[in-house]
Amino acid sequence: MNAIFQLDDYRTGDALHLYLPIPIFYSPTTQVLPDNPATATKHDILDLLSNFEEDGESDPVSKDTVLRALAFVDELNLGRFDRLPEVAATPSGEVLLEWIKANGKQRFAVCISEDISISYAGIFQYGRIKGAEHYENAADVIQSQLSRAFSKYSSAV
Amino acid sequence: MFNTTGMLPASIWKIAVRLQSRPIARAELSETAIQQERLTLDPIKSEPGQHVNILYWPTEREDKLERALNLASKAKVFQTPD
Repeated sequence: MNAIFQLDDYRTGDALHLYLPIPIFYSPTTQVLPDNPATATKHDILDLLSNFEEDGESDPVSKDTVLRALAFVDELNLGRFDRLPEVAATPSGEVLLEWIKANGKQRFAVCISEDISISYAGIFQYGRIKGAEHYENAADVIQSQLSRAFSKYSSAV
Repeated sequence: MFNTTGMLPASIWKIAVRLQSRPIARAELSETAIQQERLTLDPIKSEPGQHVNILYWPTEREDKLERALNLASKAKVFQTPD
């Protein structure tokens, strides 16, 4: 096997962040949900503004993108899910939210930018999905997809 | 990313420390996994220890997300030894 590995990784919250063209997380532990999941996630998003490190290749996250991500989180009912999303900036300056379970085998990622659409993709037990929705409709669609795998009321691990 | 074919873990961690003073983990992906996502390594042929990139990511954001998620689900993660 020709094995290759990624070194540009660092800790973001409880996840290992693998710096591919978009960030990828590996979440090894079960999360303890905070009392207010939306507030915790919004803090993580706001931190992206101050945590940017110039590397000559990555774009910073703009304030407009952060505002759109904050509004998106407000529209999601994060309290319905069994874990918080990991939050990161992509090298293109987008905000990435990713939910992970089953030792990294089930994942759902949402990518938010200044564009009018919000993109998402997921790997679930029942299959894979991907799509893009106008930001005004995105929360409903994504909430529905997330509920299929990350509902607090599901028995899946 | 680096080609680590045939390298002992201790040698791989030396590369990690060289690039990042306190690495917390590393992950391995097979070349096959990358090919299955219709992505390309650059250079295509590399020597162990050589830096490589993954090229030809799709431009549509949801397509890029999908392929990256697939790679992440196939990656084997190793925590830094104590």
